[in-house]
Amino acid sequence: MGTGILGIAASGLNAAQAAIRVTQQNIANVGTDGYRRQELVQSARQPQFSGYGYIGNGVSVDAVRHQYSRFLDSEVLHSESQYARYEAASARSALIDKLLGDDATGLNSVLSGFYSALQEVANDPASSATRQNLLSAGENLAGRFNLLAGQLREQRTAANNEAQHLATRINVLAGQIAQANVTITQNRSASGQAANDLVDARDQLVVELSRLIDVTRQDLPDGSVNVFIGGGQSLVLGQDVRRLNLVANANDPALLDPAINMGFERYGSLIADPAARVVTSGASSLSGRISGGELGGLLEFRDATLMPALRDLDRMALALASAVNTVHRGGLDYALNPGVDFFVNPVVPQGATAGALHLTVTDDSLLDPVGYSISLAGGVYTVTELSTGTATNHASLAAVNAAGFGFSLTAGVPAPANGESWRIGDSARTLAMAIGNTSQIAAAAAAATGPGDNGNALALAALQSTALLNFGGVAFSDTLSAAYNKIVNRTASQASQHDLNRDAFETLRQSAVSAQQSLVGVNLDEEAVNLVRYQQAYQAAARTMQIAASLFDELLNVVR
Amino acid sequence: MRIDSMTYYTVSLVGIRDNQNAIARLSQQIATQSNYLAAKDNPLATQKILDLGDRIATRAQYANNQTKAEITLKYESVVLDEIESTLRRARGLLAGISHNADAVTRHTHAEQLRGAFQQLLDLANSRDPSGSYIFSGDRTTTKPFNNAGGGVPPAGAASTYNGSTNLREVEVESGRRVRVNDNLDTVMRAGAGAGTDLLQTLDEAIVRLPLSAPPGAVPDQATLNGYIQTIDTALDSLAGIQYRVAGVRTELADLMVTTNGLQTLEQNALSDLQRVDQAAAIMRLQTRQTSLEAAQQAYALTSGLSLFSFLG
Repeated sequence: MGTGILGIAASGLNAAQAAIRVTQQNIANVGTDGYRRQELVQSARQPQFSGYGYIGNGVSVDAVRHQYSRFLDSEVLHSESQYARYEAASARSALIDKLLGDDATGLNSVLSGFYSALQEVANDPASSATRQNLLSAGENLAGRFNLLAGQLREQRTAANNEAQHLATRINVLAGQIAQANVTITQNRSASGQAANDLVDARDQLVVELSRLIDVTRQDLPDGSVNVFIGGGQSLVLGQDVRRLNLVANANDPALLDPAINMGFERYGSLIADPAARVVTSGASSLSGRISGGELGGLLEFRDATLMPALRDLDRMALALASAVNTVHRGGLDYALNPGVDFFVNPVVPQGATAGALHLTVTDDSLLDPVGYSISLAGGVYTVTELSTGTATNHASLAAVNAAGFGFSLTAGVPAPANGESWRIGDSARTLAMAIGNTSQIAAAAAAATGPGDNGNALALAALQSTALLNFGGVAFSDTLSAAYNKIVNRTASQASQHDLNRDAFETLRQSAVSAQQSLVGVNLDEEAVNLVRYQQAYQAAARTMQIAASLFDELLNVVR
Repeated sequence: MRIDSMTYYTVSLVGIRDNQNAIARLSQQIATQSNYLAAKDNPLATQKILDLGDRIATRAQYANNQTKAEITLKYESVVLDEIESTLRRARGLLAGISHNADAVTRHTHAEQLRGAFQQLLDLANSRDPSGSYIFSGDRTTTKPFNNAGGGVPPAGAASTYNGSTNLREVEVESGRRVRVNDNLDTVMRAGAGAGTDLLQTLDEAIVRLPLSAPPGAVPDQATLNGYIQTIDTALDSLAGIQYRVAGVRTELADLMVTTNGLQTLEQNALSDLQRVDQAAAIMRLQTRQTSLEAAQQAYALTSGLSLFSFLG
């Protein structure tokens, strides 16, 4: 009987001690990300029959359990992922929005300055002052195109670098999740109990992963998780992982897309070397299949905001240069010689090519987003669309013009010769003046008899109100400035949409996190109460032990 | 509902941060006087602002073109008026003499006519302030009219015209052009080539008036009347040009008023779109300050509360 009394007391003491340790653990981890509040699961031991009934045998500590809700966890995962996506997209679009929309860096003021300068030449065509002013305005306009395109291209490079950096971080996390899977399953099979703190830490890794890329998780009975990305591609399967690498975008070789390796590897090799590399085979592209996390936001920004802006600027520069050049060549300069190109010919001769091709944009919506390379051999023109690398042969320029590339070409002086090649593309960054002398400005119309004629200057100035572009969906619906304003507006709409989404998901994230935390978070006051409660339980158990001891003494005294 | 301690302590941080953001934004709006700090603040308004900005810039250029055209035409009209008064002076001199006037009178008139001749030639070869000949068509660097005078009686020296008939238009409104120079050759050599030559006629009068015997001889009354007739024809042609110039200037004056009005309208529309309402912004700023202080108070109060402080 005496051992029974002491045994019950000791079990109470143990249970209270364990409960105090759990409480301490909760208090210690109040600030730990991903930590879930733990509690002791205890039950009354199997009672003992003693003739008159069952007598209790004390308490047993069954498990330390942490609180969790799969549903609330998945809400957090989703909202974290979407918040990170829109925050990434919003921060980056804000830069472009500012760049394009700001008067100091935008195109509007230099574009109207250029047309004003043309009007001034028309007002006083023989004046070297107005001609000089036009040269400066042309330089300014070309310079602004260069600046904008340069900035956007830097963003493009940055996007590639960031994609690589993010893919590497994803690899690190994927490796760590797989590693945690191994530890968790091992502990579980050894003890039969889940190691809560390890599970919490692993789940926190999944949350961190979801901030980089949208993930779905699958929980397995052995305690491990499988993680899928990019609409069902497995990233982590138990202890095996697939590495994220990068491949060139199928429609623009200058862009890098995340791609997942075909084959699996053990977490160890990924942790040892998590770097994402640019590969040409063995990985399947996730382009268009990532819709969350910082990586999703980055790609969305790149594909929907950055690249369209850069390509539209290129289209504008191509349309501007070719239209101005065509009119300019049709006029006469100060000395009544035929006009030459005003801007450097956007059909750029390659290598030793001397022959000139003059371009007219016929439908800019058909233009290849990256550009073209054109070569002439054996009288056959080969036109390669640089985005896809598709090459087609054409027996003559007329055949090229009928092929629906969105431009038409005419032979210049000297005429194109076999063995020569040209390139079209990158027009905004390379826009430059072809003339540097005031007398080269062809302000006079072809019929002019003196330098006081302004017919061609008027024709050039009329380009201001000429629809050269097709940004509205209808061929030649937009003037250059209208087209530019559409770029600004589109960028601004996207940036503002990203802001709205970011704010919405921030609210959703906050409410998802607080709903989750209201279940799993530590409340210090609650722990304080628990501490007092278990302290009292401990004291009471100790007291019963003291009583058992004194009963024992009484008994011994009787015998003595 | 159960609340965890981290949320409990940090919940007011959201309020503090939101209010600080709003205050920073309002301060910037007030400082820059601008409602929108970036295009994304209101894409629709931005599009309107950019379109309006482009239109204002274009209109400013047209206003500038109108002013320049007006200056050019005003300059031309002053020269035309001078030509008219010189022609009237020459006509007066010819009308004021008869073929039988004495030698001294004929000499004096011839001398005065020579002055008118020279003045007419100079006026026809006028240059604008930037040095371009205003009556040489597009050959602005070429002196248009040449006549050395001193012809051999009975004929005066013939004029040559080196200008062109290519005249210049400028754009004063989208798609609307006005001509800013004229072909004076229709005055100087009416019906150029086949017709009369004003300077040649005057030179003939100048060289023949002082003569007392053939081969030039003093022009008879019919010849003198012929001189006057030539001047009248020139005055007629000149009046045509003057009417045109005056007409265009009236048109320009009207256009300038319209352009100015539209500019003001568009500027106002732009500033309505762009400029921040100061009073409203300051009021919002104060409201935000109050709620920021409230959030800070809330944080200060809640962060001090813990059961542990009361447990001994």
